[in-house]
Amino acid sequence: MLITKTAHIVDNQVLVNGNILYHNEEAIDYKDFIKSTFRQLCPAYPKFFKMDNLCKLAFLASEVLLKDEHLTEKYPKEEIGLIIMNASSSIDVDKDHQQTINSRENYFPSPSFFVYTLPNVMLGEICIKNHFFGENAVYISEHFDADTLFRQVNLFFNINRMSACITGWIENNGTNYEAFLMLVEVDLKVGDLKEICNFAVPEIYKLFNRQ
Amino acid sequence: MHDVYVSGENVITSLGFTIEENIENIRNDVTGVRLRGDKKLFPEDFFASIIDSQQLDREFHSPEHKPDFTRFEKIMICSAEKALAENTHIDASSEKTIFVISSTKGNIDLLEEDKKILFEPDRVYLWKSAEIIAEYFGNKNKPVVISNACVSGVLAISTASEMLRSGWYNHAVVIGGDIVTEFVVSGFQSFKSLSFGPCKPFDLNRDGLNLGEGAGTILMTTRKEALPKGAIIKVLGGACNNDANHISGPSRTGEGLMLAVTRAMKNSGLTAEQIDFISAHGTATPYNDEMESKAFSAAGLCHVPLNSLKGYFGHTLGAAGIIESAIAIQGMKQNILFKTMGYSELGVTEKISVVDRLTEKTQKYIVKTASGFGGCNAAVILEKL
Repeated sequence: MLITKTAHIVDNQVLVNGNILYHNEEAIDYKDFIKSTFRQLCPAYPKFFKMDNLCKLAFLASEVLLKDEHLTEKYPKEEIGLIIMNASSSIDVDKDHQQTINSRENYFPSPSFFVYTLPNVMLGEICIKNHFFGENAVYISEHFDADTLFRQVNLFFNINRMSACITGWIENNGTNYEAFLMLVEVDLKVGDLKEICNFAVPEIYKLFNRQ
Repeated sequence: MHDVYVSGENVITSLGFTIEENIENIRNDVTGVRLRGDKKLFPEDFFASIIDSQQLDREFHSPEHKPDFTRFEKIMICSAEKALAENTHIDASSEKTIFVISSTKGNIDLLEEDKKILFEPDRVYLWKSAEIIAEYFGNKNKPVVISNACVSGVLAISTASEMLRSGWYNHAVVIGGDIVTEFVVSGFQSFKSLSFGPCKPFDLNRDGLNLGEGAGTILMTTRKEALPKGAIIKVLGGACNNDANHISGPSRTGEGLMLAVTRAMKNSGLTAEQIDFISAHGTATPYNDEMESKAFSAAGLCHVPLNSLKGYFGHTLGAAGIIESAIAIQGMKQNILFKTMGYSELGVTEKISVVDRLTEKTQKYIVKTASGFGGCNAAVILEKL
């Protein structure tokens, strides 16, 4: 298995394979940065504006990662999986939802918040956009844990439950955010010219820590 | 590759704190779903299945030297402790034992204004409560925490079994749990998903789901020789598939669930003809049950008897896959299919075979399924040797 591409969004920068694709030093906050990134890098996709902050981050990282990849032409759609890890689950929007019900006098729970109070919904958004029908799993871990990610992704490759996988770390706790995605493929077709490396724990840490 | 067996199970719901109590109530048509008038949970009365707090405090043995536990942690620990007490050959503290934790919202009630002050702020995170649960049993491995909406439980069973099959560990303690909170009740109500009465899975007059709280534990082992006496249950292959359709609405075609079921059968080396029973998800919302009927039909499983257990203890979210698998395992051992509480007349397009009364049947292979928000669907196959 090989890591064939990476995408990283952190500190107001977007990196692909470690190279800066976009940065915005003027962005006043996370929301501002995410919005400008979307406008700069992605074609129109009205559903984006309905998403919560975690899904927006995951969606942007996936768009950058999957640009020009045409995965559904290379692999059966049910063998393209998403295995994502984070620490805070959907805490940012969880707090928004809790706010709407804290006071009985001002009580207005909203389905538009509630639907995002599950971390795997970000996987759903990426599957909808790309027509991926494969494995979905969200693992919760205090820190980025390449060992667990590697083992779980490896497991599903070994039993033929996946041929390609988008895997990594998508974290937004309302204060800090970071997205790091890797495209892992079972094999490379002849003619592909890519920066590749083995899917292994030291490599994953190396890629995660380079910016 | 190692074979993986179920060594024991526990279920905690409003119907009881042991698997035996739960089974006895299910056999006697007792439901734990009741009209609740708890204004703290929701301004209006609603139907739900709630665990008795006083009994929970009696059943939960908090060691004096240890700090307080949350309601979620109590039901999780209580469930695992009861399962482990009957399976002394599994050393929960061993480095060859892994804890796999499944939940959708864990300690989410700690966001409430009056509970915030009771625990450290990081207690609301699932990695933290998982750590506390594993620590309670003296286990030093980092627990695997799966939070994938309502398929979390089925996914946890299937993931744990693959980890054991690969030889990483000899035993797995798979615990799933969720509590009924203001957070989830208000959310499901805002979606208009809650039923006006006790839920009616697959029925013509179904109008929504009931929420339930619960915890379930399934103990797995690769050590066949150490299994307790009686029928032997093996965990076979599983699969999880997204339906790439809508984040909150079930797919109209059921393609994701169909893929999960057919791939789980394929991964287990089975065909549709060999399946004896389906423990379905069956939340009793109009769209979900319709979607499941289409998926089972497309997978060639219309003839296979299926049930939903939501009428007995509601939808227990991240616990559902584990609680319902544990009950299905008891059904396999006792050669019984439990009836679908609340069901009387088929109300889905495809002619699926809903179990409407307690039925005797020997089962060799069964499939357990679940579906959830985000478009995810999961299936796992169990075999009786």
